[in-house]
Amino acid sequence: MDLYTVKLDDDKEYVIIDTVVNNDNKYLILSSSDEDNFTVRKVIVDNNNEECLIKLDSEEEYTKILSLFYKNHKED
Amino acid sequence: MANKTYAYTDADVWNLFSNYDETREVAEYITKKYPSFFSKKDAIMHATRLLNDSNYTKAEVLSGKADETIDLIYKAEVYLAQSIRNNEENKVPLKPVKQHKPIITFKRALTFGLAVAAVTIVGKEIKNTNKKNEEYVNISQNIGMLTSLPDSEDYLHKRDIVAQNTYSLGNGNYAYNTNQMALDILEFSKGNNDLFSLALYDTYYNMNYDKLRNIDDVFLALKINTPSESANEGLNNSNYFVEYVLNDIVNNGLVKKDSKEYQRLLEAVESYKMVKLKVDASSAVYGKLNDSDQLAINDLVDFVSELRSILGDKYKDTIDKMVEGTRGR
Repeated sequence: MDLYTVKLDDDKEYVIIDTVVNNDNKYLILSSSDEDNFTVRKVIVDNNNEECLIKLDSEEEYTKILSLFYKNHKED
Repeated sequence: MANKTYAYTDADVWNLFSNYDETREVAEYITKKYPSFFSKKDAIMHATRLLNDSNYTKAEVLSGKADETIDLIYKAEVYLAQSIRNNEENKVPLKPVKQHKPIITFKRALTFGLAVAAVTIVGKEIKNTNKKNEEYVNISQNIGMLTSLPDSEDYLHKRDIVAQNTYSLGNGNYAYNTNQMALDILEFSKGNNDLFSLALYDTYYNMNYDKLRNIDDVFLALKINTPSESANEGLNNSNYFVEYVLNDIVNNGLVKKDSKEYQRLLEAVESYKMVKLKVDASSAVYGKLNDSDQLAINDLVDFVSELRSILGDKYKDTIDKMVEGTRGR
């Protein structure tokens, strides 16, 4: 199976398990069960017109994104 | 405060709370496993969920069988912290790498992510509850004051749990009245009639104390104690309330004790009590009503109708709504 991974600033590799859109913002749900890693990053376009990943602003934002992610997969 | 005689003694109250000792033990286990990580309040809430929602027994948790779940609760907190910006930039170019791996790799990662999400969402609910609970102490103190029970450390701990749940179920709304509180208590105490009785007792006393109670309040409270999703529990709980209703109708002078109306009320209450027996015999399944439950509800409607005929038109609207609400369930 083809899957996509990204490396974050902790130098760990995460599998992109889902993409969630909320309020016109895109978020990546990142996980790696092998090393028990999980995190969420927001996709932004920087001044050089390149896509970057940044951390979220608040716990509320994080929980909202996880709720949407969970909802997407509750039948899985 | 007027002196009133209630069915529960101080010793009864102590016993009623004994079920919660196991929650405290499990909470202590959680806090020992991750020292300084979980607050006591959070630990109690997690312990409650482990015992009630996850169906672990105390012995199972203490023997380590729930460790994986507790670890996940802990990790979910860590992942949350790692995902939130803390004044640092941490901008990383998005450069996805396409890899060919067994499907199991993706499925494992997805499953793990979903488990974290589930625990986080539940944790959020707990935190919201705890925010509200910053005020629950007031209710706890009120309950303590109104019931004149001993302020020993053990009792305070147990009393706090009731207040915490009562308050949190009230959505932190100071304006919610005692009827709403009774509804909250009913929801809170599903499956624990003793606890319900105690909480209701407190609520009732509170109603007296605040002079908020009138017969409409009583009817409304009775209405909300009619069968809901779980007919068995609802009716079981309602028995206590019906007793109070009868006493109050008499105490408020609506019906004199030596009157025919009082006799009819007594009969109505006895008839109502039969509801519980019928439901007990029906093996009601939570959330579903079988034929026997439906019969019991019909009896409840009869009981309400009997009240209407005894008390006349003065409370017609309230009783009508009550009957309608009961039939609608």
